[in-house]
Amino acid sequence: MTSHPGRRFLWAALATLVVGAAPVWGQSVRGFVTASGRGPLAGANVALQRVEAGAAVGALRGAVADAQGFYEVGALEPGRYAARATYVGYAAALDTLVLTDGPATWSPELAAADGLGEVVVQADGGAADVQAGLQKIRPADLGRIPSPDVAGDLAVYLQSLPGVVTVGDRGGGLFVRGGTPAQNLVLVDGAPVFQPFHAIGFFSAFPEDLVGAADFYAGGYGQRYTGRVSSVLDVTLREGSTEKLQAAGTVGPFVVSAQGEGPIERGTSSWIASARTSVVEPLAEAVGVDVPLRFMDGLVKVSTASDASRCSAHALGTYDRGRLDSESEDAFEWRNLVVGGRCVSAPRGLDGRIDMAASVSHLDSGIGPATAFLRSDGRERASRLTEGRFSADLTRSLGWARLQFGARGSLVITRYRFGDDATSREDGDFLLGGAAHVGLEVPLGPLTVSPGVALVMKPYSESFGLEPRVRASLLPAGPRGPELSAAAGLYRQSLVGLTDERDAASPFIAWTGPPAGFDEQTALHALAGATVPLARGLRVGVEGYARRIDGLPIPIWSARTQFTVLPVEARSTSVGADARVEWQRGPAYTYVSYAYGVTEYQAVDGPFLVRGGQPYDRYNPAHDRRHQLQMALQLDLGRVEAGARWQYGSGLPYTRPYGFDVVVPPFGLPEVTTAPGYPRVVFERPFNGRLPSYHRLDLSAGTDVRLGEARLDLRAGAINTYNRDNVFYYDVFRGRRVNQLPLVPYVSARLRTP
Amino acid sequence: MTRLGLVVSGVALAACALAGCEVPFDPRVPSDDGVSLSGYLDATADTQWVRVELFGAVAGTSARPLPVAVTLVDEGGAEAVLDQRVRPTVAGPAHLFWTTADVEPGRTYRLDVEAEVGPATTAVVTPDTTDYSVTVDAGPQTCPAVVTVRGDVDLADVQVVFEVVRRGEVETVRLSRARYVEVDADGTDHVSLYLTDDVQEATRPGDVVLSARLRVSVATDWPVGSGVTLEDVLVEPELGAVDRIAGGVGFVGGVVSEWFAHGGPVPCVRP
Repeated sequence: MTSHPGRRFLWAALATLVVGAAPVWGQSVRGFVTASGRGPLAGANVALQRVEAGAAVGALRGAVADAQGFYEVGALEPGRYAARATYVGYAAALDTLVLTDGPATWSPELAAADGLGEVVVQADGGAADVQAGLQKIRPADLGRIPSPDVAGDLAVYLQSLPGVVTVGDRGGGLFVRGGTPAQNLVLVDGAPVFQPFHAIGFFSAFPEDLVGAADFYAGGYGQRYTGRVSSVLDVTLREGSTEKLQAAGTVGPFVVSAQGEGPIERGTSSWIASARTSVVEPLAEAVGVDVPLRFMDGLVKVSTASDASRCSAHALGTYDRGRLDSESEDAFEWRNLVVGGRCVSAPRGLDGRIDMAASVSHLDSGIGPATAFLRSDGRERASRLTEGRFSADLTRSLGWARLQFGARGSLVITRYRFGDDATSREDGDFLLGGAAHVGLEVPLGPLTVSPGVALVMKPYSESFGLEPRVRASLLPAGPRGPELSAAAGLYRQSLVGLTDERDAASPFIAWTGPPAGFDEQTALHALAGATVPLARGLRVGVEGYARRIDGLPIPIWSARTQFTVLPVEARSTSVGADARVEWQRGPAYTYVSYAYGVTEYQAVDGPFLVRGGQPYDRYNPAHDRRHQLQMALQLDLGRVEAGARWQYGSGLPYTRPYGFDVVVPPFGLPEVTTAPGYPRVVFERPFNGRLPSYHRLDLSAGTDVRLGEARLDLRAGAINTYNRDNVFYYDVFRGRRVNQLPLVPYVSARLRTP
Repeated sequence: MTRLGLVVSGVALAACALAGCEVPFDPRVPSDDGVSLSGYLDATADTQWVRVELFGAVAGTSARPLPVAVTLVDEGGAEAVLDQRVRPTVAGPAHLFWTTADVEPGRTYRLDVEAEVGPATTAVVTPDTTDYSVTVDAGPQTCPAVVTVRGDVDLADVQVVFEVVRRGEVETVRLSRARYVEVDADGTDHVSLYLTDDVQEATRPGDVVLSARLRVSVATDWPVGSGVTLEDVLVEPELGAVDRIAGGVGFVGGVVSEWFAHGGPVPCVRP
């Protein structure tokens, strides 16, 4: 083999791409960092120091475990190394490794620091640690945002992030930096979930206790993620205990839940399961309030692990139904069903890590009159989406760089029906798609650059497209100092989620391929930011972004008070910036975030509508929240933990009407004695008004008591403590204001076995 | 005061301050328009019908009679107050106002609406029959029947009106053929009519056709021409024209209608 570094690299890249094996530059140590009996520890640090004759030689080398707990330290000289794995709240694991030939595997298991008590972990970073759009969410982060249930949920935490907008506390859609819910990719252990956020906005398919780690990309994600143009939420479910059987149950005014976990084979394999159902509807009814919302979800995961691999299978089901407006007859429902499997391994014969996942995901959703809704023909609009998916990704060290490549194949089947008699569409698609990607992570001193490209098959045009992307990080003062980061890339999305733009709060999405005359959506992202540790426990993060999405199908604007989704093509442009401050001092934790953003839709082929001869070709859509401020405070007062969260959002756009009437248009003589006329809303232009600003204070306090061997967690609090009448949405079809939740006090409890 | 007490006091104070920050929210754009009008005055009809609905803050119509007064005022000053009738429809109750007062060609009328939300008024002009001519080329051997309107007027509608026996009752079925109007470069309007197509569209199995006639309605200014979609029309509160109705939205036109026999060979279908 030649010794020329450039040729060696080209040879290695080619060989790796072809056969998945490459020449080795030095030795590597890899493995999984786990918590004793609790599965992977995402964010754990692994450090290696070469030693000779008892003295340190060379630089300290290290790596951070990813969401699966995997780490790899490459380009090591043969020799003797002192290895150390650490994580806050755990006793460090120490070992001595002797590297000779080939990759070595070291999978340390960390024990809780007190040996007996609760596992309390704190990941590096936290809410203010954002790296080029990436927020690494660790279990300890989730509990820091007050939630209206003793068992929190990933949804509450996501909504606390700047740039993440919801139109209200119902409906379940997240708008990320101007993107829409249908443009977000949500993965659970590698399997997509199409509508994972429940109709009651505090909850998702991911209960806090089951989240092992989550990577949330508000934009600028790497080449590994394809098929969506806005954001990525990659959730890794926690593994069950491999040591002992454990159970927990919660009771509260919003949900009741049961959870269990335990070993299948002690020390190596486990199961974990959870089931929840909302109870707010019957409880509210009992006190004379109509909250017609209901959801339930269930999740089970089985896992098995060895030193060099972790494999799991999971099944997830959700169901939501209800009415967003208690006085309306319009009801919705949707179901998710996801079955998947995943293996992450570092086999002995291969210098690197392989991540393989296979899944089938299904979504069934519809909207119709509540009285006839449970009948299949009672749905006025219906959509079904099924995706079978397989992906394989390989990551390996090339010495001075890390190589990542992989491929994904998918089969998507869609079926939808919507519209009134005049505009009804019923159709479906059967689509075979896929993507291959390759990228490098190249450390250049304090700068790490990660260029990559994805080759994506366009299922609708049977052609291919390249999606180049790059991420970069600069640590000018070392790993404990400030970090500057940036990302840019091209993104495409063939699967379209059609919604009625006039119906801002509707959770219904009709999934389909690009409408006739449309190509896939294409997005350009660019963002840059910095994370600065100002003092011990005080960290500030700022980030600015710009993105453009072309090929957006926007339903035509009509004055008819009926659903229509006949689309016109639009371009979405979003620019903004956000700032986060996180401060941990003694028993107090404070988190403040502010986001500014502007999103505009611009018509491409003619205006959205013409009024009085004046064309209107741009508007700010219903999720264009300009200012967003969040403050969270958590106080550990010994036996009691108190929390507060205040949210402020400037008003969202809505279509401000002049009024409503019924007219008989003069297409010929308006025969008023026989023609019923057309109910219509008369407006000047789309989204010409703004709802009042929104703000809400949530308070909570919790404690725990021992009940024999078991532990009882209690939490009490209130949502919307000062009972503000926050507008959820203005129903422009009916001229009705629908408010968000009023003051809701709650008490919830969780009983856990040791 | 303990630290916890300070925090609680601060939060309570802030909450009180914020709770007092409610801003009244008016979801509508302020508008002087109070009513919505639909219909037309026909100088050749015995009874004039106009639909009046409130231009409201909420969608839908009330089943109760509207508290409004509608008056037809002739250019000479003669007034006729219209009676109200509420008729159920699939789009909600319709509030119809009618009068048998005379309406003549070539005159200007005013339709005044007095309502609690404010007055509304619109001028209605009926065409002068000396300004135009209508010819119909129709007969047992003529397919299609062709209606031609010449002069400085708009062709508001050409209707095919059948009298049929349906389930033992004599009913009138009207088909508008306005969408088939073709306009020459000199402004002459043409409509081609195909009897067999019209019969198929107008009748149901078991119907017996008693008669078929053509109604040609001419207006001085008709707002909707060919190539305009329903979406286009509805999005304009005054249906494509500005200031037609002071204090309201919608449209009331003025027409003169002429009746002709409709006929043709069988089959007579649109190519």
